[in-house]
Amino acid sequence: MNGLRLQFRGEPIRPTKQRLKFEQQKLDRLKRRLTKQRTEQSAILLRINREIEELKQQLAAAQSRINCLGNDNVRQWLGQENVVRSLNEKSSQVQITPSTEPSALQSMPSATKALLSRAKLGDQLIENGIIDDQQLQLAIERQQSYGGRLGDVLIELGFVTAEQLLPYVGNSIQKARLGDLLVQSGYITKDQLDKALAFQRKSGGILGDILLSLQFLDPELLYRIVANQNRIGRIGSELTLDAQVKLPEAVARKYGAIVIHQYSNRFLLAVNQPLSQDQMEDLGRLLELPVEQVLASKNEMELFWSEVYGSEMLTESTSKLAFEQPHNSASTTFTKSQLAFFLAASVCFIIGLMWNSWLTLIIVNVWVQIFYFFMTLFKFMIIIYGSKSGAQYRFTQEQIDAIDERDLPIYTILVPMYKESQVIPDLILNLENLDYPKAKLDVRLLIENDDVEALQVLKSMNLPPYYSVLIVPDSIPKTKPKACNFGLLRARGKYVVIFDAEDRPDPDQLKKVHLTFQACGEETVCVQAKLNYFNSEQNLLTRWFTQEYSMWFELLLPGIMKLDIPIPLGGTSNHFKTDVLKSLNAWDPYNVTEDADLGIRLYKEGYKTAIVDSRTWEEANSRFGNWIRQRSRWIKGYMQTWLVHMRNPFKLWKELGARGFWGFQVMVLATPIIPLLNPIFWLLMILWFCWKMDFIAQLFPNVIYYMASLELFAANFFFIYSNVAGVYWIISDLEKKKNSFISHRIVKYALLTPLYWMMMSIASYKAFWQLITKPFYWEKTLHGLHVIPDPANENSIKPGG
Amino acid sequence: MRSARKKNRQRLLWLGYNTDDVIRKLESISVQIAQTEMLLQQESDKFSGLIEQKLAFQEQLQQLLDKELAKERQLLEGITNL
Repeated sequence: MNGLRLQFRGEPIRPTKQRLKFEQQKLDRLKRRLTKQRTEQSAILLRINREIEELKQQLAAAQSRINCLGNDNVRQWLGQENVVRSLNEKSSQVQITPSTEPSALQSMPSATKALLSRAKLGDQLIENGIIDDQQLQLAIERQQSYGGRLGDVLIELGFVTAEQLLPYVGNSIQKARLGDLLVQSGYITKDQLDKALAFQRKSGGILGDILLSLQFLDPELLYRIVANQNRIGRIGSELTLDAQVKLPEAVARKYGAIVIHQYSNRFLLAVNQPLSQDQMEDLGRLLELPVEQVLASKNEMELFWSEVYGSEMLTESTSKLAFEQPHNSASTTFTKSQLAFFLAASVCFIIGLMWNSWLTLIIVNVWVQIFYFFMTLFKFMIIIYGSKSGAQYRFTQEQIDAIDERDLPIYTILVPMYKESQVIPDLILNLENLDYPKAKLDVRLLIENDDVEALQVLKSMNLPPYYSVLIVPDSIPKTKPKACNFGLLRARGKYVVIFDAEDRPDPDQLKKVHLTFQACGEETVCVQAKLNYFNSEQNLLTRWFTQEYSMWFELLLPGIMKLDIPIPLGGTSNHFKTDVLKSLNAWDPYNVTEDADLGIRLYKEGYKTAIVDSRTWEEANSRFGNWIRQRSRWIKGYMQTWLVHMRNPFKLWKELGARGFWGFQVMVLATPIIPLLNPIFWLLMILWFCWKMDFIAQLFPNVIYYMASLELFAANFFFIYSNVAGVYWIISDLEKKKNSFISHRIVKYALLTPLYWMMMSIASYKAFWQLITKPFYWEKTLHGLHVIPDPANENSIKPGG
Repeated sequence: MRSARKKNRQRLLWLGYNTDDVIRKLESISVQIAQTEMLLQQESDKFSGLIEQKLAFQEQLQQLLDKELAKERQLLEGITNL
């Protein structure tokens, strides 16, 4: 009977498990076969591909020669003798390599003139009877497909020899200046060049980037001229990545080069920064064929990276932390020892209840009251510290104005988004408002694979060239940290920050963070900006939420910094030193509050986090269901974080020290536990006040009664008061800055905060259930609700600013 | 019937067997098996296709070279006759 009941899809559970095992074994066998087949075929495939490529070229050349013969032009035919010879002597072909001499700072304008005055190579060759129209057409078609220099393609097709080409391509080693080239080509005016150079003198950076950021010319024109300047080709217009080999990812990353095509006699490499001759030779040795470089824009390179190394990037984004530091990864929710501990604790509790239920309940209650008491006391202490001066880094306008913009590094901004296309125009506007040299920004918009709408919106926007749109491939887990890891892999900035799509950072935030990093020691690798809400007065929920955030970011986090205990970072506006973040394997894609977890990991590694007095304005959740989803995710994430780091409490104690350990418990354990416990005590309180049930008095013997009373009256007052204090704190600061996002009107709603705590309890129970059933599930919060009218709330107030 | 199924499901869950999880795993493995078999077949076909393609090209080239040779001969004969 029991066997019948324990069935799965009509089969008893044991055969089902066996079937699972059998299927897994079958899959493993197939995978092994595939790997073996690939290994066996790869070398042969490479050779066949090369041979086919060579055959195609020979066919094209033969056809061309036949056509020439058809013209009955003996002289032309005699001229083509060289072609036949050169085709047969391919191995002796000489590559025309770009000059590697460094450009002289005082380069001569004559070099520019020489480069520009040269007529088109193809026309010159036809005029001199070296090639005919048909051959040129064939070569141009090949060049359009794969890119590269026309001369190399002509040699490769056997239409000319290197010696024949040399007089037409020149041998000048002098490199013309980019600005001069652009002006003389008519792509920019002299005034525009002067303006860009003035920007460069003020803010530093590369002239090309500045010209693009000022939108003085089209990126395509710039890259064409840069390619000419460096005597290399551009990538083809109809490019298909068909190279059968690729560089190992580490090598590709080191050189910034990707193999995009394979000719019979060379590999074509896409680069964004031209490689030196030595680098080309290194890569040639590695690939066992000479290489030719073609220039690609930053966005084109991003596309190639996703195409060629997409799977490696995805694996790194999802599995690197779990693979290299499994002890820090939430990919396993409960370890066996944790399960054993919880099981043992539950068994003890049940045995205790059976043995002496009253005594057991009293003992449990004593522990809970002590926990409540000390958590409250610790939090109180943190808030007191947070209100002291020096708990956060503040900078005056004069200090910000005094920054020499040439010293500012490249700043990467990661913006993960999913189904938030309605806020994209606002996002771009907010990012454009940032006071930071645009040529030094590396904005990476991270779109999920199935977010077609966002992609369409972004494509239609003609974004400035310092924006890259990265499509994150679909895989499990589908979380924000995975998208951030994906974006971080090729981040160019010295610093990196995350903003949500609806964020409105203060314009001077990046500069303030730069000053903070300079003011702090080397061990400070993260700066958290303060978060608050621009739609605080939309409805009751947003008012409560604003009060909570004001307390958290204005008092609590600065207090944690002052006390030097682990900081659970906020979801956005945390700025990192990129190299350190990468060395820590960045965010845990399996943790749904990856930010809080990262804050703890930073502390464990001995790094510090600072709080800067700059705000990012976010959208407060204005709908109950949406709020519950968001809050349950946060609480579940805190549970995950606690479970991950408490796998070995003794080791954690060693890593964090006593203060850090208890701080971790207050911030990470108390956040989910207190709302879970609260409903039980609220129920006891109702029973006591309404019916004076005797058993309740027995649960609170002696000192415990006084502790519980203190918590009921003093602690509840303190928590409400700290919310009010946080709001007053921020309002007085905003008044100085003449900002009116938050007004005194919201203060009175603090009296209703207990209702907000009830909502937190609902969310925490949902979180607890999800921790067991769907630990990695990312409850998506809808954004942009402040612009979508809520039919249930006709009085919703539109935000200002 | 429905409640019996529900009970069965709850019991399985309680015993640590997440039916959804088992279904997901089985489905995922089936998909992976199908994909791997498809890949094996595709790559094998591609390999044979490439060899055939190479042979076809070789034949085509041979024809063209013969044609070229014939034209050259014809031209040379023309020059000699001149």
